[in-house]
Amino acid sequence: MIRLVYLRFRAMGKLYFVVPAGLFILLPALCWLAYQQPGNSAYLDVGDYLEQLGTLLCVWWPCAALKEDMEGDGNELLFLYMGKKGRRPVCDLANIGWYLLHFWLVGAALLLIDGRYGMFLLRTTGQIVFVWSVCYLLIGLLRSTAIPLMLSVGYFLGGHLIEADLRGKLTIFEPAFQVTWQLVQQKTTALLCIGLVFSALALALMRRPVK
Amino acid sequence: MLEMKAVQKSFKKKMVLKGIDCEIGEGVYGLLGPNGAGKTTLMRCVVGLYSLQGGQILFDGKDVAKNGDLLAHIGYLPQKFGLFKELKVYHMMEYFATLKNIPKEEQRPAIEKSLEIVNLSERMGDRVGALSGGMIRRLGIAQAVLGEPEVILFDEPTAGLDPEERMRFKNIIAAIKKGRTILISTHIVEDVEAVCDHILVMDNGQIIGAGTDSQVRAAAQGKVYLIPEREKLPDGSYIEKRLEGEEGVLLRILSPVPLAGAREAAPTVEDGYMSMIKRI
Repeated sequence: MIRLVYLRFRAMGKLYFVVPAGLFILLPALCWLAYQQPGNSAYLDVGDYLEQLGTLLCVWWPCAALKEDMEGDGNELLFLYMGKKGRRPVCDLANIGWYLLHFWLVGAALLLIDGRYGMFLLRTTGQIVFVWSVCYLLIGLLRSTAIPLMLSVGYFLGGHLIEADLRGKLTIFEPAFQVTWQLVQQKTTALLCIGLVFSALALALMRRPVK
Repeated sequence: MLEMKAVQKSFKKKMVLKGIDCEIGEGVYGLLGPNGAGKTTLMRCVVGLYSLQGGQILFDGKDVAKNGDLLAHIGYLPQKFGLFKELKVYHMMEYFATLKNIPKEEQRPAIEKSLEIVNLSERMGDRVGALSGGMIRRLGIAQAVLGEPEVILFDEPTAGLDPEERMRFKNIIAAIKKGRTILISTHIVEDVEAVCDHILVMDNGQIIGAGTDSQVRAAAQGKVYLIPEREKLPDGSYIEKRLEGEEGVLLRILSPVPLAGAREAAPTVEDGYMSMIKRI
């Protein structure tokens, strides 16, 4: 199974490296720049960067990795051997798990700088799981990655274009200054639970016959 | 032994398979039919991609829809194949070997054997995306035979291939057919003629004819004529070929009525197929 997951990532080709480059190079660079700015806003800025880059990179790429399964030439074979035989859960969950691991490696480094980042890391983890599970459910329903990929980016961008005061009320993305441990405990727990339910539904949908 | 009993499949209100009954044992079977006959739908029903609205598909007496394990005995090459273009040929085969539950220690020899059958051993280290269309199709055949399945289904395996690749495909079938059931769906009569022991003619969701090479040809006995080009064609007849020879230009036609005075020709498999499809 480990070999299967490894080959799946390898099948993404150069596209695979976008997430590591984003999380291990771009994100730390942005965090460093935040700390170079005058004033004390670095902590909140980094919280926002974690949410922006973390959610986008850790959702879009695992969904894009399913393009071959859903739309590739010969994807019927993958349905037979992955979907019908029940291998899909492990492989797809390993996908999102792998990218979350990347995210938490960066997070671990941030925790060494300031323990308060734990709050943002947990919050963003819940957001990643939720948005990914919504996309995964859509992929299971539509058997296509096109609309889920657009929606994931659209929801993420839309969430950040909304006024900061309204963002937390209308979307799952609240500005860093509104984040508290209480909010993280309640909202993140809810997002994780909903995400698990959506993932289970998606897996059931992917096992049904194509037509 | 693959059995299809009153197999029915519909998409919304359109009935695509209207009660298919047939038994497929050891040997090479050609599923011949025009576009839209339901050949691909039937193949997909056999491997469990589609659920049936009626009937059963049995493998050695067991319902394929209810026994997912039976997939281990069935190899399948879909109409389009071109997965994992970023992986190397060996890694792509390794992916399928893992999916087919081939033990790790047996994977390399199994992969090498499959690639040797399709003459791709030298391309093991190349990216799938760097292969030509014909090579990718051969790679698809390699994954279908991986794991030594007893039944192999090929859906339009030679469509879009050049004559050389089509010849290679026929040689591959000859190499793998021993002790196996192979079902090849195609609309190219020539390919069926060259490799198949049995022919199933399908049209409009039904099997309308079945038999050996000679039995299919017999369906057109007395219906194939050679007539000069300038002659008026009988109503309901079809022109199959235009031949130039010492006697001038002749038309090889399939006629629904006997033609007095016309030269009768020995029917081919294509004649028999056309006779069945056109209900002549």
